Amino acid sequence: MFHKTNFRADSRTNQVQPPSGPAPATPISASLIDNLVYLRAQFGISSDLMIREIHLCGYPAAVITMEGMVNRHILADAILLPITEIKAGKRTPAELMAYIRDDVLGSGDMLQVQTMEELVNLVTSGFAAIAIDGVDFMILGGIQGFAVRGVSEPASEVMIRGSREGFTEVIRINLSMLRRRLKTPDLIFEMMKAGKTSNTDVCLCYMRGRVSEKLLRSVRQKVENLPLDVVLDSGYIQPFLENKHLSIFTSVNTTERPDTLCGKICEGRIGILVDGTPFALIVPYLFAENFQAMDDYTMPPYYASFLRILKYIAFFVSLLLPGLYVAVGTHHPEMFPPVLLLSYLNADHTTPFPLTFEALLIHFLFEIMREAGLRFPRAGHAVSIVGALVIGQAAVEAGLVGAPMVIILALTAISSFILPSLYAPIAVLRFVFILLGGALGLYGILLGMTLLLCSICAIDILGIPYTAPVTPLTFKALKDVVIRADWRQLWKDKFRVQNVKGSDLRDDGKEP
Amino acid sequence: MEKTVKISAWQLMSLLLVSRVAVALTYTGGAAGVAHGTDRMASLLLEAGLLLLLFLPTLWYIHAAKGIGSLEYAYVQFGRGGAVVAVLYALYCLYIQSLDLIQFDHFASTAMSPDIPRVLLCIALVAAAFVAAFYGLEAVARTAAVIAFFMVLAIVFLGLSLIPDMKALNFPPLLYDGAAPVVNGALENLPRFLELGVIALLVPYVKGVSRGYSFGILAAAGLVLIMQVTLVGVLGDYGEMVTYPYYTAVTIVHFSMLQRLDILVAALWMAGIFVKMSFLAVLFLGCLRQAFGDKLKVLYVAAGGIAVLTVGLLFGDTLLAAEHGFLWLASTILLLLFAVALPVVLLAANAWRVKRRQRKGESL
Repeated sequence: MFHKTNFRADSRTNQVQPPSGPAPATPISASLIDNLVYLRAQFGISSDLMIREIHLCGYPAAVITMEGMVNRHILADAILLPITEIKAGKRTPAELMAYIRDDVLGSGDMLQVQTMEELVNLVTSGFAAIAIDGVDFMILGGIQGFAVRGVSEPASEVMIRGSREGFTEVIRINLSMLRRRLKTPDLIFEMMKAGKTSNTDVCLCYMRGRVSEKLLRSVRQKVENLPLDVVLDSGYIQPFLENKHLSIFTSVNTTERPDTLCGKICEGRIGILVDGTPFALIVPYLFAENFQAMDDYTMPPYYASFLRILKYIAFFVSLLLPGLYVAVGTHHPEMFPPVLLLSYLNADHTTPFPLTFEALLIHFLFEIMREAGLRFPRAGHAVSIVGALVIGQAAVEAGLVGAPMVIILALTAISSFILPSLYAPIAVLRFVFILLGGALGLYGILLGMTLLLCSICAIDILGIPYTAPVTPLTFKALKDVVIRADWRQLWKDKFRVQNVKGSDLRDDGKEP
Repeated sequence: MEKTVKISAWQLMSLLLVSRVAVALTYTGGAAGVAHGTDRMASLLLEAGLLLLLFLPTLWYIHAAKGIGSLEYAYVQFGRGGAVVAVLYALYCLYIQSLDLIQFDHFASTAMSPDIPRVLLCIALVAAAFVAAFYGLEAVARTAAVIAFFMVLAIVFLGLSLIPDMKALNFPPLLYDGAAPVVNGALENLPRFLELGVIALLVPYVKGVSRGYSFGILAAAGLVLIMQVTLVGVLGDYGEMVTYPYYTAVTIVHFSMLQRLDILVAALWMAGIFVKMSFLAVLFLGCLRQAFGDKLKVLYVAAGGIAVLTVGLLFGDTLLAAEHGFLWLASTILLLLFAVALPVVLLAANAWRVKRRQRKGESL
């Protein structure tokens, strides 16, 4: 009766729908010609389908690959050369195929398929298929050889100490990075497909025994029932994992760092890797985690705690400072200390616009320049110079904005860069708070903050409150929220995300 | 995965604490004028005791109803007639919210910055509270827990900041004018805690209603006592002459890291009022959903908000000016109706129904 109201009427996004059932599969024919005709019909005039027709021991055969997806050298050395060197003998086509599969091919990634759909899927993923006339199945070897970006340092999550490795676009490489860090059979990689057309590889990564079974079932269902046709990035999946609720904050976050994902997985979370993107999704993601970084755990606790507190302050500065300045300047100028009041009045008298408009204008210009610098990095220096000269100096000298406002902007901007995962909500809410401060003074800001707090408290992700462990309060978990306790204390707690207070997924025997 | 709505006893305690302190922050000493200084502190303790006594019928109901909320229980007893109880509860919530808005409006127009349009501020408060109704009980309870934490810190901080300005002479002897002012003070304050009337509604949604309520009353009494000690120590008898004594007390502080402690009080007060109003808005929406279904929820909220605004803004001044005693009497009657009469009526209806069945069974 007193539960949260869902605003979105569109139920497609979150309700788990019963699977519509797979389309009827087309079995591979024993006739090679039929199979090749089918493939050519499927791919049409697509130029990258490569069919090399050969004869093996007198039987018509073919090697099917996609150009650019396979390594040509491996194709020649590990597939074509060995099979063409098979001496003719008294073998039926099926026996020949079995012989190739068991004794000839050296590929470690060997599969046998019975349907055309599986064949198409694997061939488009960089497998080479061997078909022999008279055999109603094909064998495939994984010889992927497409160009990939090398492993490099993630640009969005730079660390002072610790690993310099970041995820790449290839899911298999990303999985190997996780496996290298967690060498345990409990680390499970559950591969599935997403996108009816794109057939994108999506992998759920979790630790057996640590993850909540309910959480896993729920995430699995949501990924399996994605209504999307094409999945090109993890961002496509993200909204479908979140609960139906209008909120500016997200409870599913991303990371580019394998060590971060490993840490989260060990706490009972689920990582979702999507082929083609270096950003892994983390489910569930709590609000307090926006203030944590991998670096915190490599630094001395006192310094990590100091940085945490700094981040919380930066959050409030970046969110509220312009609004507070506008509120105090417009409605409560007597709150300024006398010296500051003089400089404020001086600036106020030389600028033509009301303080609220001035703040909106300068922050709007800043966002434009930030976006320009980001989208067109080559012009980054030019944008910086224009920004510094136009906003920082010329605007003040021309009397368009006051000097205190430029200082406020600078402080706000620098503070907001400290929390990259919260940049988007902060940037939007800052404008809201400027308007509230301008219209209702400090009282408007207070009201806005309380409503914002309430809206954050309303978020829960698959049964886990977003604001945990602060509210509902889990005392033990606070050791890693505002402060970062020593490892000697942290390891004892064995924190599992599903066991925070207020969670519906508790598996420690206690009530939610 | 549908999450079950459950809040903890601590969260209920926070809700009640925040609501009570929000009212106490704008305690109008002059208007009350029944218990002074030290007597007022004693009346606070007596008030807490009375509130615990008044909880007994609800407690009886909680044990008898075995985890069923009073609204669901009303539906069990009266069938569709339960909708009447739902509407009564909804109106009760609106009544409390209207009183809060009247107080808010009065405070905003007398104590806060005069250049801020108070009507706009009232509209913003009501809109925010009713929007928060959509977030649900859990969200409001979690918010209350955070705000309660800061509230306790802030009131202790304010108390410490005001210690240098406190004078022992300002504390008159206890029961100097006899026990009557203490009793009158407690009775005067009793209907400031109208939330007691809705506790029976929350039974299925709180893990430990009785614990949450009892701790809420005691914690609120403790915190308000700290405020009262501060107020009396700083202002003495002068506190009876100003409209908002606590607010006045903090504006004259001489020793503090912060220059403007009144802003801190205003911040606490706004946050508290917001939590209280949104808590009641959640209950209001829940009752109407139960009575008339879920389809028109936006309409319920809009109508509720408009009703509170209309009463608060159009009739607020009239109600405040008309007769202080009228509001007290109305609130006391309503409190007794919802906190005492309704649980008793529900249990009596159940007993009657059981007896009737037994008789029918015997005759069969």
